Amino acid sequence: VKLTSSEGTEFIIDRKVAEKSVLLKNMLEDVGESDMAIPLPNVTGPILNKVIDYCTHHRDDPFVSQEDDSKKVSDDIDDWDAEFCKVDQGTLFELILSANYLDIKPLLDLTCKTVANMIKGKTPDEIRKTFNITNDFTPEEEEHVRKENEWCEER
Amino acid sequence: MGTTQTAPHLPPEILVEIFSIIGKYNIKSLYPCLLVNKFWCESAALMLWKRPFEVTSLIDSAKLVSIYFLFFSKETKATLLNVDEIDVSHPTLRQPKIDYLAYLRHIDFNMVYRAVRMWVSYQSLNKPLDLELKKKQRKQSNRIVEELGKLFTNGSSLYKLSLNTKSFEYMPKDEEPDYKSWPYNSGIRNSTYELKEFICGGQFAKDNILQKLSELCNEIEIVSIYDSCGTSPQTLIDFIKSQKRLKQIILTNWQTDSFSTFTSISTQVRTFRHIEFIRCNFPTAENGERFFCGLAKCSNLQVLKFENCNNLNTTLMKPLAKAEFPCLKTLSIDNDFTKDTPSLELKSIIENCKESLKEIVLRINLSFYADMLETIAKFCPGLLKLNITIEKDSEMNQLISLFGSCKELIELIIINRRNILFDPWFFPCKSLVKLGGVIPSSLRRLELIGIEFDHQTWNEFLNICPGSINYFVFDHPNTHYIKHVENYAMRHNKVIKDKGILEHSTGQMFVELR
Repeated sequence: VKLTSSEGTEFIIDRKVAEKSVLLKNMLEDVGESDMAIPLPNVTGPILNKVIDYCTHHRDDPFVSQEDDSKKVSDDIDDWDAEFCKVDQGTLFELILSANYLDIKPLLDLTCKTVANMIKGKTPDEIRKTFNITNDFTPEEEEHVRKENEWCEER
Repeated sequence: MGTTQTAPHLPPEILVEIFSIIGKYNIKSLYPCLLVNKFWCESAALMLWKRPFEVTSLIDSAKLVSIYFLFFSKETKATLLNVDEIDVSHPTLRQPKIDYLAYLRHIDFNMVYRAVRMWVSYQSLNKPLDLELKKKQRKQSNRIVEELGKLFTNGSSLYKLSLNTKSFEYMPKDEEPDYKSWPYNSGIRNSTYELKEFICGGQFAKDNILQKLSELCNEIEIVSIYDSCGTSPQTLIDFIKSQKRLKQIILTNWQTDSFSTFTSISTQVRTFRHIEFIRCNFPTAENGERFFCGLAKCSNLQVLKFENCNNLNTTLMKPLAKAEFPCLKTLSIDNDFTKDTPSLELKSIIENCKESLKEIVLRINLSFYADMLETIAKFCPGLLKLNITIEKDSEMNQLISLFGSCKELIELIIINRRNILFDPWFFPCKSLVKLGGVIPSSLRRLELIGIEFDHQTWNEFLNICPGSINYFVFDHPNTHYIKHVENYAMRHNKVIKDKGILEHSTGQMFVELR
């Protein structure tokens, strides 16, 4: 199967690896055998390379159903996956967006879990610093939201 | 997309996905996310305000209801103040910042009541708590719950509704409006349109509620009706029939005699997955054998449970003996039969499941069920969980034989009810050690409840049984017994978990290894 990234770089991968993506799987089923490259305008070359690495490593994993999904927790990441996610934040977010676009549920889960672990246990200020987020609340608005949600504050 | 990409640029559905992962760990850990910025606030609020009464602690629930009071109309606030002497104004907030009401998906009126009751108590902390004040507080609580009920029917779209009133202390007089009139509030049609789960409990006739819900929604998937004895069986049946996707039903204290029978559920034969009867009184009439005809046709059934039901006899069970449940995973019978024991019928059910059963709970007197364990051994080789009453050495020996074919078991619970009528001297030292030798190495959890044995037997048992067990429950709160588990753990490169030993007030020990 041939894929082209947003810059036009061509990648050739096994059909089994490509089928980890529900988007590609459906496309391949619709189109059938073809030499035409599938364009992926939303995915850059380096990110597509990472995604292919992931799908190749997990090519033999069973399909995860929605029911199993309810059991997922953020501390069950295996060593290979943890190493895979040791990337800069920009890459991690691009991986999330690509996994979402290509519909690769286990990769989306893994990357979201990684971000979840970066959030857990932090104060709002620490979260803002970690992700370079600007606080657009006025002090009064922030105080208002704080009061409305006091009932779920952990003590 | 450059490397400066930051979390706020993630689409909302991704942020919700990330928050749902954090929420699974501990939903309250989403609180800091609310205060990051406006975008994060919206997504975190969506998660937190979905089922807030299940999230908050009882003490904090008073703060939660005070935020819902911000949504009351001026007229409602005025009526509560002038007529009911309840001032629901917030000390500092006037208008809600976000439409939290629109996020509400689960309501349990029992929890709403407890939260309101807490808020009402806080309002009169300085006053002496005499009988008069208590009475007033209860009445005020009911009034507020009534108004909250109206609010929830006008701004929310519910998935789960529980009209369980077990905590309610004040029973309104007939002419007073209350929670029982909830389905008759205006706006109810929109708020129950997507209802998937409905729970109703409390000592009151549920006919009005069920009749109204039958009209309003027909997509409910899970229904639990507790204390249904005051409710007309026909209303209940009509309600069940009105639903198109009913997967699960739990009925407790349901009383029915020679009425149109449970055959009516045949309209749901394809959708039913889980059926549970607890303390129900089934009909004794001669045509009883038609009663479960509908149930027998539920060929997609995965869970079937009977607990302390009356008249569950051979006549009644006959249609089930002929039924085929190829998807049945859990069969649970917790019933004391004294006469007309449906032994053959029960065995036929197990046989007809064609090896699909993964979990069996048999809290029955096995001496009335000849060959029951042999039947399980023969037809349930893939069994994962077994919970069984054992009261004699002969039954223990049958259990030992069972492991000749059931080699995948992960959980084994053996209970002795110390039934004086049968074998008060049941002291299965020898057979327990034998059991240790045949337990499959897939077993993770072992519970021996009410079983007497000395600590040497326990040591011998642990010496011989496989090293896969990580969770023990037994009735001997004694250091010798714990020491033997410690040694067992050491032999298999394990340790007892931190805080892994719990002693229950009934004398049971819970020991968890890792």
